[in-house]
Amino acid sequence: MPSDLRDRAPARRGAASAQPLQRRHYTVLSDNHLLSFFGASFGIILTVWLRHGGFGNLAKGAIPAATSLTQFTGIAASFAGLAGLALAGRPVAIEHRYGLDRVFIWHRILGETMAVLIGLHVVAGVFAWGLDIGFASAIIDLTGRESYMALAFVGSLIIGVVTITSLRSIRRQMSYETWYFVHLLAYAGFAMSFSHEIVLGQLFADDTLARWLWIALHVGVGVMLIRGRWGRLFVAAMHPLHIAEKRKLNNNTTELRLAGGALDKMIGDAGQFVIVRPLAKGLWWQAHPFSLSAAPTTHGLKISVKSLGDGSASIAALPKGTRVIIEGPFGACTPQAIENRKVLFIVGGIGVAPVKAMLERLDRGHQPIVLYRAHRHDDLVYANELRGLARELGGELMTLVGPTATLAVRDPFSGKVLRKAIPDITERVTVLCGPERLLWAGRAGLREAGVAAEDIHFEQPWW
Amino acid sequence: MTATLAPRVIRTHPVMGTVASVHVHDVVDVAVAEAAIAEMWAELDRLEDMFSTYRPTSQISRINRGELHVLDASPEVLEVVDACTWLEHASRGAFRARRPGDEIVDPAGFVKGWAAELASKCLDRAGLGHWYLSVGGDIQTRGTAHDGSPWRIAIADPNGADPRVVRALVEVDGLAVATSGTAARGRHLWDGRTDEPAKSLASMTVVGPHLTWADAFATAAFVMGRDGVEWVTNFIGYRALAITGQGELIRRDDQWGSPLDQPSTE
Amino acid sequence: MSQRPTHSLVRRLMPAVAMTAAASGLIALLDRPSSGLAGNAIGDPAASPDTGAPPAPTQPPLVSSTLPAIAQGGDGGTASGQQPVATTPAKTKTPAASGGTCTGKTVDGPSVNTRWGPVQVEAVVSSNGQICNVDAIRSPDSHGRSVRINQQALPILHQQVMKAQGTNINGVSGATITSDAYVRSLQAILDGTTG
Repeated sequence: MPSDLRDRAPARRGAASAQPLQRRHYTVLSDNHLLSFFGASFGIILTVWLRHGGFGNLAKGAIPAATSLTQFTGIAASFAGLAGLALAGRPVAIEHRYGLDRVFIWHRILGETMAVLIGLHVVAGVFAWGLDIGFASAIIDLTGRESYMALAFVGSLIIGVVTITSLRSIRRQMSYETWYFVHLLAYAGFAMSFSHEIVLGQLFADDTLARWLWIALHVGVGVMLIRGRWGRLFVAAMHPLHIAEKRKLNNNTTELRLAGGALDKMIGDAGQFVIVRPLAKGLWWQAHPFSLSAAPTTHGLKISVKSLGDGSASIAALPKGTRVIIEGPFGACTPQAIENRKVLFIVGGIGVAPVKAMLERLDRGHQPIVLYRAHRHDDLVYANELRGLARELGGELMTLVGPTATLAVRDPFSGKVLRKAIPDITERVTVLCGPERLLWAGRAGLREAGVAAEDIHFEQPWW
Repeated sequence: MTATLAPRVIRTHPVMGTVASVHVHDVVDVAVAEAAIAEMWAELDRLEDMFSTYRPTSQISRINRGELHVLDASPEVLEVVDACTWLEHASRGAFRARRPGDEIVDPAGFVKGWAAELASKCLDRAGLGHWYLSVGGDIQTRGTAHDGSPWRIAIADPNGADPRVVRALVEVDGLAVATSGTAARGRHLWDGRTDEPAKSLASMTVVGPHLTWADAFATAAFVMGRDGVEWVTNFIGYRALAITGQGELIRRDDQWGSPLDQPSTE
Repeated sequence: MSQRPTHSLVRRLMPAVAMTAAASGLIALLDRPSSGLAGNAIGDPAASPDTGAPPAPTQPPLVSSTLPAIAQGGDGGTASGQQPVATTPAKTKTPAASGGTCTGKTVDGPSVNTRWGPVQVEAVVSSNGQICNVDAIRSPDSHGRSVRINQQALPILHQQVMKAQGTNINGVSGATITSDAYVRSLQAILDGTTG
């Protein structure tokens, strides 16, 4: 039965009685909290190493020093990896405070750190064994003759491949899904190395407390990951939304309204984005992030789909009633980040949707100014709504249309230009929303114009 | 069935984000004019599809994605890409078909005038010889107006809010008129100028035989600023008229006829 | 719409699957634990308890994706632009000079191979950089002749600002306006399409 039919009556009721979604708590979690937690955890691990004479051994000769370094880099690598995996579970408190973009960026940084540390660990280990029994024999031992080392060796190769394919220059050459399926093998790589740590690691061999701590850490992160990442996806899959309405905004942009019973319990706000998996042939295995183009309510989530040639065109073409799995909403760029201050929005491309959503939630105290950059007039989606909303709140919309080559100045985002256009720019909170080039150019210009770094908000492109 | 002759056939058609208008002054059977015009609109749509970077199936999009090599594309695409390259060199970089910083080819600045001129050949093939086609303000004329006088094409005032105020007027006999400039109000850099007004231009108009080049030269010359007016004189048959932010006209006197030379045709 | 048959999911899974297979094979190959811990093997690097074991199974070759052949014309379509002012697209009519007042050096552009055959262009450039004439010397079809512009009557320019009254103007040229803005424009009045 078409879900269209099923939902018609509730939908009509829904529009009239739509409630905004529950808003997230802008948590008290601060940078200090995170750093202390991180530092303390690492400190505990470090204590294990120190208790086994790790520091002292560094001075005791080549082999003890190499062994000690092998242990240190090993646990440091694991620690970075565990922290990275914990972030992959999208912990709620951290995501609410910092936004999914930063969570993914830190995950990437921790992953790269882990890979480097593994490299050092391998080198130190080869030296530690090689100086003892000869390098040829050491390598044969460490790649398979020693129990559990084949697993560890292949596991480290897998981590190496995963890290290399996640480097921006390489990752951009493959499709998202290809990259993702390879990336999942990191779980395997990590797990494969566990046995050699527990069995061969001298730190754990004769230290029961340390061993149980190590196992508990891994189990803990594993549970966080399974619950946070996969459990939530499972729950989302059990309560899919569906496309309730479609509206064409211009030649290549369509607005979809996604509705469903799960909205009652969803937490979200304007300025955020959702990850959409359409349950349709050819698309069910793809996940696409879309920003909300209106403040989310129980009546539905609105997203603007621009045909960018990466599958988004197929999503815009889906018929009403198609079910979709929604993860999120994610993102820390919400009206809460603006507080009570005056605000400036710098917008381009698909960034306009979440800005429009945020404007709907602001009030006269914010006097929002919107700078909207587009290459063609046809690209000025929602321009009238933005102008109306901005003016209602005592602000203004300013547009700049045309290819950069035809503009009157070389850099429309330079500090000089911005200050001239917005004289009180340093008193404002700025939200940047748009393609990467706009974000970096805008941010550089804002800093040049004297805007404080903490007053500049944007979703960092993690992909 | 008697043919309906019409002294003027006027039709419009939305395309390329703007509106195209055609005025046919030949005294012909309306059906003949309308057939030719319909064919021209179809041709414009076809060319828009071929070059639109917004349509994933267009040849340009496929070239930008690496699915199609430019040498394997249609002859029209090759012609446009070649022309854009030549223009980039001839204008010393003022005209660019590649978006700054990346490899995407976006010949939109050239395609409009070129496509308009190409599509207008449908009118020639139908035997029409007294018409003009305007695609969003870029105009190709053929012959003269119905009374034998040159086409009177006004140049819009780029600095005014009233769309009915024009800044100048040119009389052309079969030539093309193309204007490049800041579009609707509010496009001067976030609505606040930073360059001295004297330096920047509000619009640049080029008059010459072919709309393809009039449009291209207008785009490049506008970027160049005042120097653009001189640059256009490199190309025999083309001349430029620039309008500054203060409403001042910049042109080479020896390139234009003056109304005082001729007896008034009004 | 670019890619969409469902087998593209399989294509995207393949690298990960291949890696898994390779990893399993590698582990099976390498995992030859000696009977005791590492300490027992000290001093005898060459000894391997498994000398007599059968060789590890060879891995099947990984399927390599075949890329479609890409015409290596280099920037064939744009190479003609290498020399400034000396080149021109072969088939587009280029603005050119009549012989009379403009003379200069003849410059040959590079010969470029296009799918329709080689194209070479020749330009006459005066000493002050003015382009007098551009010709395609060899072009794939008959379009390549340069256009000669007859001296035409100079277009007349009226310079005063005026408010247009529909009867004395045929058309309007201005920077391109959107379909929305067209409705309020002077061209719309001339087209008779305003309400």
